[in-house]
Amino acid sequence: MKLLRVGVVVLVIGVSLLVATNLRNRSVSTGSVGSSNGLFGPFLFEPRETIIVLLKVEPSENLTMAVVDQHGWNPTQDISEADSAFVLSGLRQFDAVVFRIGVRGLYYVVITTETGELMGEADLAMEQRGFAEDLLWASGALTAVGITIVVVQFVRTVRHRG
Amino acid sequence: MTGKLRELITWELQENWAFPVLELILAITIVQVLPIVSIRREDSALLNNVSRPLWGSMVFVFAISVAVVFGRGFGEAVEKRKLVVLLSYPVSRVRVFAAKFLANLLAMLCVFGSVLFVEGVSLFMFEPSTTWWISGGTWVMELSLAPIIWVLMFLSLFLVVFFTSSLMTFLALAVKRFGLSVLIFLVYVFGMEYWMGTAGNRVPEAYLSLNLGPSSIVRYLTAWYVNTFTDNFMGTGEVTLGFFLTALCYLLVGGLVFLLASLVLMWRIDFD
Repeated sequence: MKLLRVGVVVLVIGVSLLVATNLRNRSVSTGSVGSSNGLFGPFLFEPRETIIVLLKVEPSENLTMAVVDQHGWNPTQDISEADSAFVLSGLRQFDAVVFRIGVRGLYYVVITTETGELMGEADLAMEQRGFAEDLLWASGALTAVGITIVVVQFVRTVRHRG
Repeated sequence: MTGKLRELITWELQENWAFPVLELILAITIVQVLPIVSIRREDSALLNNVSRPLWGSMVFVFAISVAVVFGRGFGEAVEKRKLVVLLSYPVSRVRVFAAKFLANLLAMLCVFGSVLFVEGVSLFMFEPSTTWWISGGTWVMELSLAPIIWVLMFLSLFLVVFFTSSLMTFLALAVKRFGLSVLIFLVYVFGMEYWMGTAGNRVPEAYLSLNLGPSSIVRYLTAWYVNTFTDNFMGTGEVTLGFFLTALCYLLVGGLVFLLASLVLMWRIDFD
């Protein structure tokens, strides 16, 4: 009976986590890039697949987005001297960029214009798919364990009565 | 802990947290707390994007959970004469009260606390991040206070659960009815939320809310920590010392007063 209760609790946690993961998997506005708000990380489990959407940028064409390690960016704040973890050019407003960071750390998202100048301000949406996947796996595993315990206990009870 | 008290606590947990009470509270708490996310990790973002929405979305979870658990533990126990049966054994009223209150309070804190813990881990709040910016041509580095904010959220969680538990225990023992005590409790909690919501956030009574009160405690104590123990400065926003003390005294002193009143009621109550 106690094991059945444990199974039900695990099942409830798994299903609730599944709902919460679904609700959590939303885009989040990160604020202004170029200020400290553009900093993200560190993450628990690397590598993380990250999606960044350029929601509102000015100018809206021929942009270059780089993801730069904090230590590479801080001394000079010059994108040509920094060792970027990821760079993509020719971006426009509403483009979505998907990338992976292989090394755990703190990173800046740096966006430059066609002339190489730092962009003053931009609205981005950022989502970490990797973390959402972890939660999805965790909720699926918990649900499966819960269902297994409940079914096994149910079958044992029926056999016992029979 | 004595053997009798431990037995009473075990009995209370088995009786009061039976299916589906624990499951429902767990499910609602997970669905309410875990979707709160913040990619930004500066202190102000954590206070505004994590701490504040958490209390707002948790008010009804606190209210419903405490009403059901403590209403069953005390109101229903008196109504269905379970307490009379329990007191026919060689246990004192104080011991029965302590066991019931402690068992339910600790179980409640465990459920809410573990979900808050998972939420904090998923937001990497155990690990302070560093923020850099240029000020007057000089690079400035600031260590985020995420772990401090997280600890203060646990403190506020304890205060809210303690206050609501004490209030519900008092009501259940005072009216000796499960349904009526739950009704009065919910009318009080949601009535206060509605009334305080209309008062704005520039008056002390607004901080008697279970939404604004705990978030103001977290904000004020975070700012106090920054201004006392670091070289940086953090403003408290609209939360003044008076507002902070209003929230803290309401939850802590109010909780203690209702707890003592409940103890006196339990001591003198006529169960027949």
